[in-house]
Amino acid sequence: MKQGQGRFKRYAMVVEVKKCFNCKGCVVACRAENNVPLPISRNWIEESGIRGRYPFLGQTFEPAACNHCERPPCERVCPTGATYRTSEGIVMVDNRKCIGCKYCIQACPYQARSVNRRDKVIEKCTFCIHRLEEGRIPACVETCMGGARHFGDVNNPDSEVARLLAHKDSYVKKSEAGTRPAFYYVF
Amino acid sequence: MKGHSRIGRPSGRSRVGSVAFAAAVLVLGFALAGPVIGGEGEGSSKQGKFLFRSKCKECHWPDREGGEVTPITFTQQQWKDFFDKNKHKKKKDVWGEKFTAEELVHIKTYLIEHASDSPQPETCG
Amino acid sequence: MNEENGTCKESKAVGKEKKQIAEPGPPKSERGRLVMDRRRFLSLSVSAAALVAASGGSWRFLAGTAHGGLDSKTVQGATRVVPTVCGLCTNKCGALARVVDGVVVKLDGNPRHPKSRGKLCARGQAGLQLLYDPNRLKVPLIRAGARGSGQWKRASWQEALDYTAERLLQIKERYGPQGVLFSSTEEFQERFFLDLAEAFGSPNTIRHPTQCLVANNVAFFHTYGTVPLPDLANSCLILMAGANRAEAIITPDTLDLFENLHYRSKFIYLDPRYTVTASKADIWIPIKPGTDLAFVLAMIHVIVKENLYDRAFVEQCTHGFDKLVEHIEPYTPEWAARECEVPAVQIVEIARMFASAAPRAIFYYGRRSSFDRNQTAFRRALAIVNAIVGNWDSPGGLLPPQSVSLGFTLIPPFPDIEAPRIDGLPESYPLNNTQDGVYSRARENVLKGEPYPVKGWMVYKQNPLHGMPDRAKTQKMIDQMEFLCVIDVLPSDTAWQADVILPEATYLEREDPLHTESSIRPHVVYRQQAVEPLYESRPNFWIMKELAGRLGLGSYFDYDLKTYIENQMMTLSEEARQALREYGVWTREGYPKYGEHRAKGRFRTPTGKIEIYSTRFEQQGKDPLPVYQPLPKPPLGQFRLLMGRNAYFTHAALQNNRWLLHLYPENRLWIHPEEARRLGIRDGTTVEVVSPVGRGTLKAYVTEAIRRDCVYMDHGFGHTSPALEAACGRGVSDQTLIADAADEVTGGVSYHETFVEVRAAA
Repeated sequence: MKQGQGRFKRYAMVVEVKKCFNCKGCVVACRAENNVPLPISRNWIEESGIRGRYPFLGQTFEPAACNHCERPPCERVCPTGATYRTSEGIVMVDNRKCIGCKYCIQACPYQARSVNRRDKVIEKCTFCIHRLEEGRIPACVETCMGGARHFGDVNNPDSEVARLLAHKDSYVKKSEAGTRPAFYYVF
Repeated sequence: MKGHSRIGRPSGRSRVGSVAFAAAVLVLGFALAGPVIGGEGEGSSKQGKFLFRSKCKECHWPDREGGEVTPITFTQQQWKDFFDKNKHKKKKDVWGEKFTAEELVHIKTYLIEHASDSPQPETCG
Repeated sequence: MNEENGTCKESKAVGKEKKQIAEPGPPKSERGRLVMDRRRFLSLSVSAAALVAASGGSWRFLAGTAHGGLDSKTVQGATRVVPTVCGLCTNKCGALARVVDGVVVKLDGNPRHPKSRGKLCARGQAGLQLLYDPNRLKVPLIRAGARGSGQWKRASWQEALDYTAERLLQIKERYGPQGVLFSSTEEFQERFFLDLAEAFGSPNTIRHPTQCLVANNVAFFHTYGTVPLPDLANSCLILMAGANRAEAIITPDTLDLFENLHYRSKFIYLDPRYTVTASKADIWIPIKPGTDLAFVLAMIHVIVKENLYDRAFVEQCTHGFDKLVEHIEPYTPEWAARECEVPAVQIVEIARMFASAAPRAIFYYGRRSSFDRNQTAFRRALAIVNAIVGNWDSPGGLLPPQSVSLGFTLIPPFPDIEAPRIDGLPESYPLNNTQDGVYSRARENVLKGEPYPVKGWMVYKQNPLHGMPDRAKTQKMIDQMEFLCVIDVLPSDTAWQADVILPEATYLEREDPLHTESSIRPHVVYRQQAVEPLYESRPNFWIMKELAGRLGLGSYFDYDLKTYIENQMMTLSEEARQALREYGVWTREGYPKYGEHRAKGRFRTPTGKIEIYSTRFEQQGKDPLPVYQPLPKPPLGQFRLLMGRNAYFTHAALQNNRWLLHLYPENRLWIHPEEARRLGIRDGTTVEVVSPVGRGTLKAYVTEAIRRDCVYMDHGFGHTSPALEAACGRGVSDQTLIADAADEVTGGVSYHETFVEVRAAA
């Protein structure tokens, strides 16, 4: 499937960085929605920490999780094909096939995967695929208090995410890794 | 900031008489069954609240005959005038029939205490 | 991993289903079931008796599930969505509880709620962990050893209630009903606790305002006749002093502020600390703590002197402007610059910006005002600066709050009370709301035993050991009580000291009376019961009714909750009632409204106008216009201790919530790098903090984000109740360190007047 072809959906997350104020509602919402056991999380906030010297200070918060890459290193290295990509670009794990080698965890440039020891599965963001089926948006997006998170189909030019990306400068994490994430940040 | 409950006594109108504090310690159980009427002809705000709700509210309810009336419908002065001069002019007989003089004193006290310009601030929650 | 087929089968099935999204898959109901299979929750199948057996009769009643023999359970079945209202803080955000097979599996925001608009913060989302907290109070407990020793006897409700009533009647017999203090915090069932107090005949009710927003409410009330609400969503310039909305969340204020950041011209924020809110502001002013009042007075000076105020509005709707002109003469920007350590030109510029953006400009005042001795004067100055630029009842300005009137249930008249209040209200603080009480004065008098002894204490949903400064003093207050009963959900530090602990049901386990929030969009919420109360917890209404019966006060509770709620609904239209039952919230249409009040014009003050010059303040012998008092400086080498909060906890209530604790495990002492260097303190190492009333140790957070003359710690940590297994021992309680200080006008606590020494711990 090609970008812009319009045949397939390509789900993406777009975050307006200025609006995130680190309430961490998304982190807890994800934990509740997906029953993620402590101490691991599927998502987190990257806190820049205080930058600068008093009183000229700055601080940013970047929500992060699995980037649902177009070219996921995790998929490439998986020896059994347990990690796969759906036709809408969601990177999933078929835990039936997973042998627990943890190669994917090492391969992921974003440290987005973890081992769920309680359930013995690989834990990672699924873009709340079970909610998408019901026509709902991911739990993190729904609860975002700052209105920072946006989600939708970038292949649909009328979607909010497509418009945001068209009108604002955006960046992705570790673009040099060539993974082509579906997780964008705009100012 | 939240809610509109104004409860309590207006400033400067203390209900504390000159009862000796030692005696206060020995005050037992419930206060008097009947209303306490002070030297200024003041009634009991608590009795007044009960009477207002049980009697006045029969008519003074939204969509009922008298239209909605609550303590904050008028200012303290307006309530005073209402009880001293106006005396429920719109339906005078109801007043005479439904209420004793004592009851009116209680209701007056309650309404003045909780009037729209009562000095009791709103509370939180 | 597929070592164990059982567990993997379920996840594998999900994986398989998910792969089929692009093609037609199995019927939806089957997919739904499979998704639900993944959910596992701790089942609560253990009976209280089993708990007793396992715990051996000591404080291990409150021990966590790891010891209790509970099993993991997979829930499946249809999802029931129950409208409820979040109960983890004061905001009352509408929420929807998803319930499967008697288990709450997720909390979502209620999109119809006008304040929260479908969102829930970290705490709201973590409400599940309150419901299923293994350390929750499960059964009534009666103290079986020395106070605070943790020796408890498991009691039946009958026993616990009988005992409580017996003790209360004993105290009433000996000391009069005023001998019992009733302290509580706001929630939908608090009303019944206050009713019990009044029926009992005690004048001594104490609520939270004097530890929080009393100065704010008193100041605005006696200026405007009400406490206005800010129309932030439509405002073009927002000035904010210390109301850290990114971390001290208020809905909708927080949402309005941050969602609309791009569309507003300026957001200016004053705070000695570079909080998250500061990082979002266009201008952050690191103002010297305790000097905010000087800043605002200087602003008023500029606005008045340069004729930037709304002349027509001031003439028409305010009282006392001429006196203000005289009064602010000495409060020049140059003077304020010295006090605040902010350049005079900046103060002037901001004043001009504020006035020119008006009426779409707000000097936002938030809620908490419990900072220092200037708190009431400061809030009065805020009320005045907003008034003179004419932003009243105007888009982007301050709006009259709206609520919906609800029906009542008739109960017999409460007895008239002869005894004066223990805190001397209303005479001692005549400008306050009497029923709220003044905590610091009450505590003082209880300890003195004057004007009469108070020996009984009923506490509902409150944690005085964590809320009142000088924790040692609060402990003394508890020690001198003959009877302390705590009604709560978790075994707090205060509960640990009690004679009787009564377990209340959480918000998810209750149906509550309707509640109307004072808001710019008037609305009503209806919290409905998501699940049956766990263990032997009961709603407060039931507890109060049972107690009342035993105290001979049954006639005041001669109704049931259903009837109470039906009566409330009587003032609402059928449409509203339907909406409440179905969606849990009903909002009156057509709001926010602008200009109606401004046109009619009568304010609920003695003069009928906005009282710039407060006649009531004058009448009571207080400054009718705000007067600035410079705060004492910390001695050399010491710091002013500041406290505040973050977005993950509500005061001292939620530190045991494991999901929230995971985000933020303990409080730290914020200290500037230069000062840390001077004291030999490295980031992350332990420091000892010593104040005139206590000491404690916690880790240091060395940061540029705070001024050199102050240190900061989050409120609510340092729990000592061993029954709070997750929270106990983490961080330090700021109240151990903060000395008793209160504002003279309202008796509101001044939490920022304590100086501390900081040392690297050995």
